[in-house]
Amino acid sequence: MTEVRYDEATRTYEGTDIAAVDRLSLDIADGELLVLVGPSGSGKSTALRMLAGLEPLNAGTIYIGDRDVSNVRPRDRDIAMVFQNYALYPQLSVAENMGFALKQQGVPKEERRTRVRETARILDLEPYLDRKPKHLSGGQRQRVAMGRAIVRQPAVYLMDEPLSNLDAKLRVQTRTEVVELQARLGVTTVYVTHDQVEAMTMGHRVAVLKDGLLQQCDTPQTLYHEPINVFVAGFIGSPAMNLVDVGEERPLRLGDATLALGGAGEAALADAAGRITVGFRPEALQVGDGPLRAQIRTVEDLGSEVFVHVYFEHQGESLPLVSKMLPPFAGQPGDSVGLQINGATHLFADDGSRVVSTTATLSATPASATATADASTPTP
Amino acid sequence: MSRAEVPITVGERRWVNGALGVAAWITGLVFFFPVFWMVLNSFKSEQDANTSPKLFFHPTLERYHDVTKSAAGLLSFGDAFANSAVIVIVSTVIVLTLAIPAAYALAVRPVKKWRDVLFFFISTKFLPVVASILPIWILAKNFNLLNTRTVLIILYTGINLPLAVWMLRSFFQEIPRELIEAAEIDGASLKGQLTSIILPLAAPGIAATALLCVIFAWNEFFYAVQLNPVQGSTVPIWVTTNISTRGDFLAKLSAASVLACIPVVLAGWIAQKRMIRGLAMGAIK
Repeated sequence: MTEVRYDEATRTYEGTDIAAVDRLSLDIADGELLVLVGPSGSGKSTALRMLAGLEPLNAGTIYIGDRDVSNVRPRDRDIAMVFQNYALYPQLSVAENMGFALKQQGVPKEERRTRVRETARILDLEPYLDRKPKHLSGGQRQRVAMGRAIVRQPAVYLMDEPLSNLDAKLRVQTRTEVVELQARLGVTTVYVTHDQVEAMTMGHRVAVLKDGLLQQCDTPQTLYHEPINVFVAGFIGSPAMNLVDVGEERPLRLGDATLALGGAGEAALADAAGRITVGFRPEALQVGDGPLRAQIRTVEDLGSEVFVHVYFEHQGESLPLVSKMLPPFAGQPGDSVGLQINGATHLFADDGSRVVSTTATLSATPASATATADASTPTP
Repeated sequence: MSRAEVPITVGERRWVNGALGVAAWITGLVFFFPVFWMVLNSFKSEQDANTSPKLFFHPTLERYHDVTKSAAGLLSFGDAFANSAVIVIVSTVIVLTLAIPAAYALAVRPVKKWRDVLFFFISTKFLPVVASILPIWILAKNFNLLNTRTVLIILYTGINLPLAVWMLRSFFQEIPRELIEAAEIDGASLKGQLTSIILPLAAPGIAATALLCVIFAWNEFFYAVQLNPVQGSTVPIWVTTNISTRGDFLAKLSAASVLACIPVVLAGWIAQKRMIRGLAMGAIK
């Protein structure tokens, strides 16, 4: 049973005032695959390196199991790490690479050989045991790096963007293999990536970081459907969620259409003062003959789905939106179309936090209402 | 660039490359010529060596016989070689033993104010050697070190150490950090990291550094002639004993110089492959 716990863990690099990881608190369950995701500079790698013992903590505590490891050397933490560039020892063969940690632990030669061979079999590396890393392909190197971690049977696996040096096809394939392997071994794993697709497909739970601060840690589905703030909303999902700043005006208006909220939407909105950002996923935006007039910019037909990029006029600005449609889609770039929202819509307050997730419908604004609304809009 | 231009560019490049190749050969030969002439002279009689350039002569090993013959009161060939070998090997081993941990501390796990440390190391090279000779001579005399191998071992260690630390530091920096971190996580102790990861990977750099130390210590003349004019002195001093005030000595001097060159040439030849890679690696940094 190995849980991992970050308790207010903080790391500030020398010569800076801003914490790279700021009071991070996270509980990772035994056997869980937790993904740390965020843009570059979000502190995700630093958080992992803190757990590995490669970065010291300036404040807070990290526990592996029941043990406070904050001041424990990396080699005494019972962890194994897979690096982005694999960090295979170039002068050692595949077998020696995989057996290196066991040798350091003083495991007898015979047992070492058995365990390396066993792991190599799992990873289809048996034919390459005597080769040097430079004579392996990228995918094979990646597997050796995985093997080097697995053979140790550690309490926790740490993976720092282990797939980002693979080509796209191999990455998708290896992603599945890593998930299967982790499930089979049942070892607590912390996985760092900048790729939100990887995070969504691999993580039991996903922790989204930004500027050293944990934004939200939850299941991929919750992140997708109930993002806690506008950053998580925009970061998770591809193509990204459509986000439009609609200002302080009520009722909410998108371009020349009025947004009517369903369920508890209107009540929640009444409690929220200030500027509102409306967010809705591409699949919630229908391109057809809806009330919001727009123009098609490009059409990306992927066969199974079509991404339609459109422009619409909003408060004198031309804003982009993207819609995910099912084929066949007949529209051409330059066509005038009407948009309708048909699905979950999220409202975010001025500070980025989510006000409510609900349904919404667009309707054409009556001419008189437009005039009234314009008159009531405060002029800056 | 259009398709038609491609062959012309290639042709031009070829021409330029050819010219550069010829220039490189000429430069190399110009540099090598004095060495070649020295080797030639060493097989001549003194008369032949002193007459104006003479390519055809009866080659003889007489001069080699002459220079290796020991004379009373003079530094003998055997003593000089033995002294040099001991001084070079011992000082180089000490330099590497001290420089490797120092370079590790500066490159892999930078100590606080490592830039200052690095500068202090190199600043010992700013002082002209002539300026230091008097205090060094007095110190050596007071410690009864004049005319001993020990004094030269100490000096050459001190002189080579900063250079070795600088070179090794840049080689160590080329080792990807992740490798050291991986070894750390894999449970390697500091000693384990050094012996199983850092030293094997930095081997070319260490070879290059050692070779430069060997070359310097083998060729050093100034301190050797000042502190150990006869006893405990080295090969370069022995070479000069073949200069005489009476009679011709050019062929003899050439033979002595050839003998003095051989160990360094051998060391360089053995280390060549590794050293060129090592020096190039260091040069990029």
